[in-house]
Amino acid sequence: MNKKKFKKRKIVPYTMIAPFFILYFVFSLYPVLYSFVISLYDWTGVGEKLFIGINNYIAIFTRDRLFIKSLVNAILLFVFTVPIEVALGLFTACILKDFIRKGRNAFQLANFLPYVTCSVAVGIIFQEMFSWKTGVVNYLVTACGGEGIYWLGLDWATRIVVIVMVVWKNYGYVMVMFLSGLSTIPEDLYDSAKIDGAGWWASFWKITIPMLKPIMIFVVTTCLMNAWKLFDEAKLLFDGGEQPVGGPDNAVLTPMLRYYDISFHYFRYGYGSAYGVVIFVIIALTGLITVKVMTGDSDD
Amino acid sequence: MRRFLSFLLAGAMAAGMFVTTPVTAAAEEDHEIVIWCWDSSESREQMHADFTADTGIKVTLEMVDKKDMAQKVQTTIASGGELPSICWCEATYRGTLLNLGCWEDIIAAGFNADQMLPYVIPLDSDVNGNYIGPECPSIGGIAYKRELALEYLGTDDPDELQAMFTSWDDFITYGKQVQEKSDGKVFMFSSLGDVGIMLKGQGAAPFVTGTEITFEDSMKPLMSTLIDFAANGVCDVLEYDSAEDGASYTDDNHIFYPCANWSIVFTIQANDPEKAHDWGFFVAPGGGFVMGGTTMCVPKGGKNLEDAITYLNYFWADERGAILQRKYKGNFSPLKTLYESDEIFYSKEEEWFRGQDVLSVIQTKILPDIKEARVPTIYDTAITNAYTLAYKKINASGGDITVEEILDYMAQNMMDNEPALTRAN
Repeated sequence: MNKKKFKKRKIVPYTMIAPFFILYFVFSLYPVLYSFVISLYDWTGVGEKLFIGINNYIAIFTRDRLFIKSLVNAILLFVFTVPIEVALGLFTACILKDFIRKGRNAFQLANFLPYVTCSVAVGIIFQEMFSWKTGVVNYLVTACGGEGIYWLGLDWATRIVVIVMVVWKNYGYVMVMFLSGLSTIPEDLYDSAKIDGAGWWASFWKITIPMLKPIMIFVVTTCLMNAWKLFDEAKLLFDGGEQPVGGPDNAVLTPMLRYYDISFHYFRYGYGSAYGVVIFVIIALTGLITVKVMTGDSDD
Repeated sequence: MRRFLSFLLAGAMAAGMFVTTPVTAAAEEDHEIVIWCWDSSESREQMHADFTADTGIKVTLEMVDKKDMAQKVQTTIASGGELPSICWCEATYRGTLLNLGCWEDIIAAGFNADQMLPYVIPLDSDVNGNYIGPECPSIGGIAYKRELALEYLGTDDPDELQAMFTSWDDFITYGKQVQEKSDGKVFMFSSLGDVGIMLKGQGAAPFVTGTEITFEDSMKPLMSTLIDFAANGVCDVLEYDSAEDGASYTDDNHIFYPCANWSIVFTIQANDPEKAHDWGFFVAPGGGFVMGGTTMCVPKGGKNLEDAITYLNYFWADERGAILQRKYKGNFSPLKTLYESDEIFYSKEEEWFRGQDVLSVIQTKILPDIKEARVPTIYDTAITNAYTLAYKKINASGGDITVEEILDYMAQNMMDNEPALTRAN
């Protein structure tokens, strides 16, 4: 192969992959790096930037009570949402695989639909469902002899609504992940276990769960990372009319919502960017720690 | 990189224009203004058609939701994108928006503000005293469902009702009677937010002075009244300005609603399109109030500044524009001269109000009494958020909360969001 031909053959693949890298640089890497630069300034997004070094970071960790509140809120929410999503997704996937033959695709679709439903529509529907006076949930509560609850006006009740929303929306995705994992487990293993006298429950614990470990790590890690990024549900539930950002008592003010609020309602781009960087670090650390803990000493 | 991409984009756009746009069209576009707004109704298009016929300036409307306006302006400036000639800035976050430093001082740019109503000038100025843009006066009274008023209060006559309700406490007194009479089904208002918006609009005492939170003469009486309303159960607990609140306009469970001059079309008729009720209107106890308002802001570096100023002068500083606004939109003009003569400029028998001339009531009985309004501050976003939190807290407590607790709660939230703030009283 002569030198010219070699060069030509080398240029072609680089040219083919160049668009991705150009787009990645322009729309992903550059904004991320630029956010970090902005985080060192006091800037409204308009006019002159004032360099203030790491003062924005110092303010976040020392003076911003709502930063701590938003972290606590996120932890409170994902302590409930992640286990429920994973358990429900896994349970549904197993039921669909083992017990439902007829109409299985329809069930799968029905469970997955919330995940692809427009978040704005979900927000409006949940606002209506959990309305204190006219919501269907309180209608059922009072029909059962209870007293209507101010779901969107009490901190604990609001958190419950967000948990329900998040679980309802996401567990279909978790289910699909587990279904794909289940399809990779050889049927021979279940047949052998059956011959040895193992029931469904024993097979589930001894075969399904261990074999699903890689999927489980992926699902739990992504669920946790998404839980830190929780935004749509908390925002849309209190969208429209005069509603406080983050709900009553800032009960569902998540780090992402706080970041959005600071940047686009208070026009503090520099401070908001510092928030973005801190959230990025938290999410990255969460991912790393989760994978480390779940994989243990093995090289999975 | 940004400059390089802008260059590429500009090049591509320019190339596109040369290929597809005839020369004559390009010449017409020289006198085109672009407005970012949230109303592109036919009536507005017709109004603009008359303007174009008079001035030769073409108006292009681009829809931006009022909640997204600030973000859109900010990101456009930050990214070096093309700004419009005029942006609509709604009242809620106006204080924060006006002080971004990205707007023209329109008086310096040629806008004639000499004949403006005095109270609107501070409303639309930034902290440096630059006048940012005109607005149509948005002032209101109380609308009510005549059938319910007659049934539960014994009269549906606006004058008699105004004589009955001379203070906000009267709403509590009569409200308790209405509750009793209706077995708890009928409320005076659908939400505390209805009462709150009227009380907020009636006061001019600042919530924040400089960097100090000054609640004593401003927020304290407001919250005290809201707590009284909640404690006596005369307001329903629908979320203010929500879909369920909108639906309540057609039901038989809520009697009174705040009603600005623009509410007749945009709220009453919009929420009660089939005219389920005959409506009435009277002046609120304590007089009229400022309710809403949208400032026409001209961004620095926006398209065709001169034509934008011509547009503003035409519609806000000239009788011809005032006539068109009245004809097509029912908007009031801030032009002082219109209110100084004996002639009633705004008059219309409203079909939804059983023929009552609501606009003339507003012009003759409400507007003259409005001498000042609460001036926006750069802390308006924090104030609004704290207010909405407090409103939910009062609702949740059922009025079993002291005004001091609420004010402390609000002040703390404001200081959390705006570290520069301190509490004075």
